[in-house]
Amino acid sequence: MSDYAAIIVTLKLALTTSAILMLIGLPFAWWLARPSHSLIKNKTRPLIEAVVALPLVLPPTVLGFYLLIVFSPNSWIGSTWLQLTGTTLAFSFTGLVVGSIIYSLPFVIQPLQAAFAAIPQQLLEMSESLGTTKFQRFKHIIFPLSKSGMISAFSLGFAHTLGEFGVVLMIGGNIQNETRVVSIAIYDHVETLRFSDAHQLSLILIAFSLVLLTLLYRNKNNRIGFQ
Amino acid sequence: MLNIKLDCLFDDFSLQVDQNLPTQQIVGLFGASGCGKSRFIRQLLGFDHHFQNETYIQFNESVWQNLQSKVFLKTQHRGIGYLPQTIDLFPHLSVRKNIEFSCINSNRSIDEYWLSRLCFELDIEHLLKKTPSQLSGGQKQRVALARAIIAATKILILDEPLSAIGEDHRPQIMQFIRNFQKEKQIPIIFSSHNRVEHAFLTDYLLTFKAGVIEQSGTYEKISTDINGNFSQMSDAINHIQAEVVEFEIENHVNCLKTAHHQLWAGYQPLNTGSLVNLEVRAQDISIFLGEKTDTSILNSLRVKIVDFKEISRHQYIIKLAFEDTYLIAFITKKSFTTLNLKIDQQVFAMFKSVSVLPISFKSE
Repeated sequence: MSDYAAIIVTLKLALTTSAILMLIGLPFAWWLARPSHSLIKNKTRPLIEAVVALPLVLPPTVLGFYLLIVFSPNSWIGSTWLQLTGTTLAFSFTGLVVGSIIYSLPFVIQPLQAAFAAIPQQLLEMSESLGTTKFQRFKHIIFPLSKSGMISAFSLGFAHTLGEFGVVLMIGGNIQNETRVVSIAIYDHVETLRFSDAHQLSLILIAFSLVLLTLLYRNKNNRIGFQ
Repeated sequence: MLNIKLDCLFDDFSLQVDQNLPTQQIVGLFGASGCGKSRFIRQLLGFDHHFQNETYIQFNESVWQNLQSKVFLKTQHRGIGYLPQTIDLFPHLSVRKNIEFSCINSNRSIDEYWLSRLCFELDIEHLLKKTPSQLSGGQKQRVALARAIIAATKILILDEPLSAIGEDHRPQIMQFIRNFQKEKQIPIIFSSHNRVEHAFLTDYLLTFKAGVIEQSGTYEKISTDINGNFSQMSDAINHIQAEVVEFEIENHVNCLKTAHHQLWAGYQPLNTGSLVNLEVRAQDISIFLGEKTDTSILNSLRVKIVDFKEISRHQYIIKLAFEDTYLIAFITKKSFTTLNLKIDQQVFAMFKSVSVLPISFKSE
């Protein structure tokens, strides 16, 4: 039944990560997407975008390695965490969430940023002149026009976290009910030559991801186009 | 009164305005593309404020913007109905939802009677359930105009409001904009580079050139001011209001009358007794010293030369008193000197090409 627990941990991790990423990602992607007249913002934006995109190109082991160092009680972050909670970030579920957030960041930020950037500035100005408050503008203009981008962002963040392996291996290890996710379980099965178990989990992951991505692309093709 | 003082520096353009505009009338902004009309309008809306060096905008008693004392009334609180040049309908909302958009914040429910009248006047009733992507360019602009009118609680600002609207709807919509202003007593500011629109709509005219206001004043004053650029441009036009007497079937032409003159114009029958607007290009007017009957030119007006000015090395502009208004005409320097024209001289202004606009004058 350890495989069942791995599936639960994986789903929990993917849900938590993508939910937190959406919360961080909405304002952050908005900030990145909207044109600005501030010189500082325009100068720093490419650098920030590059940092966001780093997890796309770096091997997960690099990310995992640095996270491990940061999480260790020898670093100030690790020691502060230890003092506050009495536990270490490394080899814990919370640590995995932190790692996944960084690892999946570009998969959430980039679709959101693209969706926000596609909203013409004039439409926002127009709705402003029509008397709407900031919140009403979000509700009636920004949200409906970027809804499909938001769904993409959430699904991609979710799907990408599901398939995470390297970072988990580096910072999470293989603790039952805590950090043992599906990808680790599969690795474990293969290592111990339990191929049928590995098959079972792999097929579940393939089927799940395929359904998720199909839904995602169907949503993409249905969205309202600008004329 | 709308008091506006602006000093804005854009990347490649500066805008300087210091004007007090009437708020009982339609203010028209005229000028070639890129002269600053839209930028001026955007400032009134409170957009692009990072370009401002100095701004002071006061609408009647309320100060909208004062950079010095850091007063800035947010766009959403200015009560502006705005039709941008780019039209900008919300693509995800139906036409009706677009038109009602300004009711979201104010929580006012839409006046159904007024909405249906508006939609009838703008001929968009049949479009209410459609989405913007299903509309033609002219339809989109009419919908956006309706949206602006619904939103205009204090002022209506229209940037090139008729640019995409077809000839078939144009007179009716211009008439509606005029009536709206009179009926609701809401000031209108509109921009256009089309002289006919100004002739019909504008009470108070501002002409822009390269970010500064060249001329400002009532339309009647500016359009007959021969020292200003507005009347000196080669496409300058005159408008003469006339009443339709009858349609001469045998010659297939309308007979019209002004206070003391008879005119012939228009090859389509007009309604007898209706008031129409005759448009005569300043270039099409010829001057005769005596009355001519042995000519093919049908229209001849007794006028008096009030003023003249040399506007190029070969051309003169002359201002003619006609009944209780003025006309302007361009003639060559050679004709001017040959005829030995003088101020206060009685002459005859003759013209053959006349466009008839089946709409009445703004003063009516």
